Amino acid sequence: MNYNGFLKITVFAWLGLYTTVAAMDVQQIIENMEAAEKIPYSVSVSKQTVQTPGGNSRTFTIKGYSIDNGEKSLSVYQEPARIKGEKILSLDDGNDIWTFSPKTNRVRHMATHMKKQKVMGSDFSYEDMGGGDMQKKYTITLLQQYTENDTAFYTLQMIPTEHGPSYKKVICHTNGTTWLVKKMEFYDENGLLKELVIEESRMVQGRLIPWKMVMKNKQEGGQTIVETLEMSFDVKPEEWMFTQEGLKRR
Amino acid sequence: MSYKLCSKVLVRMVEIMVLSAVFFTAAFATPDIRGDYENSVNAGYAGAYQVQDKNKVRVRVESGGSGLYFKSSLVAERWFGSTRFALGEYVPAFLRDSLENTFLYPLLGEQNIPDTMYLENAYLQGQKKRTILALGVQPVSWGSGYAWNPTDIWNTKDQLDPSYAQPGKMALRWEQGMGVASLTLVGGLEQSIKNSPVSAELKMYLGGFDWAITGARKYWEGMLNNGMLNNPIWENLGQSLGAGEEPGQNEFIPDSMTQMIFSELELFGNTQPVYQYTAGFWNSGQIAQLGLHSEWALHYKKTKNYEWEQWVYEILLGADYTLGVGNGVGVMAEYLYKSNGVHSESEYSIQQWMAFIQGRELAVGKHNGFLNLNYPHGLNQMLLSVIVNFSDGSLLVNPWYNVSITDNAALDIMVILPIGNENSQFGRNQYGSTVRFTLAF
Repeated sequence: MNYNGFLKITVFAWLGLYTTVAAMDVQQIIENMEAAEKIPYSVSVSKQTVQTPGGNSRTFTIKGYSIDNGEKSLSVYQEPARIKGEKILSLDDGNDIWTFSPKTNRVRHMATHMKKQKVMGSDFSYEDMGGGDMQKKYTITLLQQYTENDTAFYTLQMIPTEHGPSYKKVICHTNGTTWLVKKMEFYDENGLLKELVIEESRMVQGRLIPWKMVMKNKQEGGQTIVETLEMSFDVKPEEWMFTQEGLKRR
Repeated sequence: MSYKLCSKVLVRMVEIMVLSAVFFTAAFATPDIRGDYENSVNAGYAGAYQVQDKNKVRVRVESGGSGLYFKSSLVAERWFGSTRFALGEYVPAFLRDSLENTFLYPLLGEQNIPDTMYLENAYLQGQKKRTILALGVQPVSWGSGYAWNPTDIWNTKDQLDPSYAQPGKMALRWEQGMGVASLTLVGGLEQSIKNSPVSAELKMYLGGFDWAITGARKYWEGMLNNGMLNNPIWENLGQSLGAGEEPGQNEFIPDSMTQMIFSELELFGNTQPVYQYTAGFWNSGQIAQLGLHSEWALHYKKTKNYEWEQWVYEILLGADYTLGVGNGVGVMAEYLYKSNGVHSESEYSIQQWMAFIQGRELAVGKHNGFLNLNYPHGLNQMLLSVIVNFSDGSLLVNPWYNVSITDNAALDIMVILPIGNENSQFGRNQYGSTVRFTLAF
């Protein structure tokens, strides 16, 4: 999963403009968040560590590419050797997902129902990679505004629409000063399913980005830690990389 | 110089060019060397217990940049345990007796599953944006089906493990992407260009579905119909295979081994060269979150001078869905209709079995089904596959558990449970189990 995938998982990662809490309404929050989410292109390397309830651990290294403000993203597994070269291509803000296996040289289009499945046994699902028009995917209401250590936070309730993910609801806690997400809670029919916490943020080429995050599975136990190792906004990946032919490139 | 000789020279030149290019590319780039080791312990029962241990090492070497690179994999296999088997145990006594004193008789005696080493892949691929040109022994994937691919003339899938990597084919492949469409042309390189397989595919992505039309041609030699079977041995063998008089078949003898032996036996039955032309269509997409795919193929087969011809059509319909149970249970089901398949076990013929065993036919029954359930549990997976021949009422049930041991090590435990009477396709299979340890490096 690449940087833009993570960015979209956090959904409202940060906003560049500061506004007082009292003056904000949901529409303004969403517009500001979506404006801030747009990064024209990026290339990143990240490490993903899956920790199971039984104490087992698996580590993946993933190279990520994104263009068109994250609408198109490509994840290439580099480690471990067992899955090296496996690729996930996300187009149309995660509505079209394609996978590539180097062993069979086969590209497969993922049906919508498969997006509920875990990515490589992690606590992230394929649908967590999707972004796009948040007001199309969710019905969003502002639940709470509060202050913690002199920092303003918003709590948003997001109910997925027919175009949204399969969760029953998502609760998002956003820092009103840095506009980074502090925490997201994902609910299913049985209650709280997963919880995403941004543990560290870093300034990269003038942008503050989530650097380390943890997705905790609250029903099964276990967690997945994602840590960015490298991030660059210098070179734009070529458009053809985000095609089925591009998936077959070494 | 004759046409045939020209073809051979051309093929040899292409092989030399590939090898030269591979070494040239390798010389200017740091090769990436990795691979995997598989140890499979197979145990089965068909009148007697058998245990085999297969050791397989695959070494992959890749080199070059993103624009021009080569990929190769070399495989070595060594077998231990019950590696001796006699084909004579698979055929009726009268056939063994009648073949005595012929050059074929040794084939019916005890043989070893041979230790082998082969080049699974070795190809050079050049890529500029959405144009791909690849030459050499390479994987060729075709069609949208999971268990069966009616439009695929290149591969023979094992329904017990359909996603297992297929050995490469010596071919020239050109892929060209154009907007939402892409064109793929693949030409195989056999000893004779005239008899080399070729296939083409034009694919488009429209309305959330992939749509493709395909065309292909291939050449093979085999037994055709009863009229050509002058030797009564074959008729009797055909009846006997249908009657299920032979003992259970060992699932673990490599396909390549049985294909080779049956190919030689088939020669004895008066084979004919056949040209096969295939027109096909496939699609893949979803409606209301239900994944759907289908694959349609019309095959026209004929001998050179039209002494024999046959039209066959095959239809594959598939659907998949993820049930909201636990982490999600993936369900996939496929149905294959085969116009030249049989309605019941009493119609089985030796030609069909020969063609099926050698991978020229997808199935022997007219109506066939495949069901796969996949339940991920932590880092492990539980799977259940069922392969059904509706025409003779037999099926294979294949529970499977995949355990992730470390980042690069995995253990697969699978069981084969045949169900059906002794005359049926799967009823004759032996009960078996496999424990496979895989370590990637």
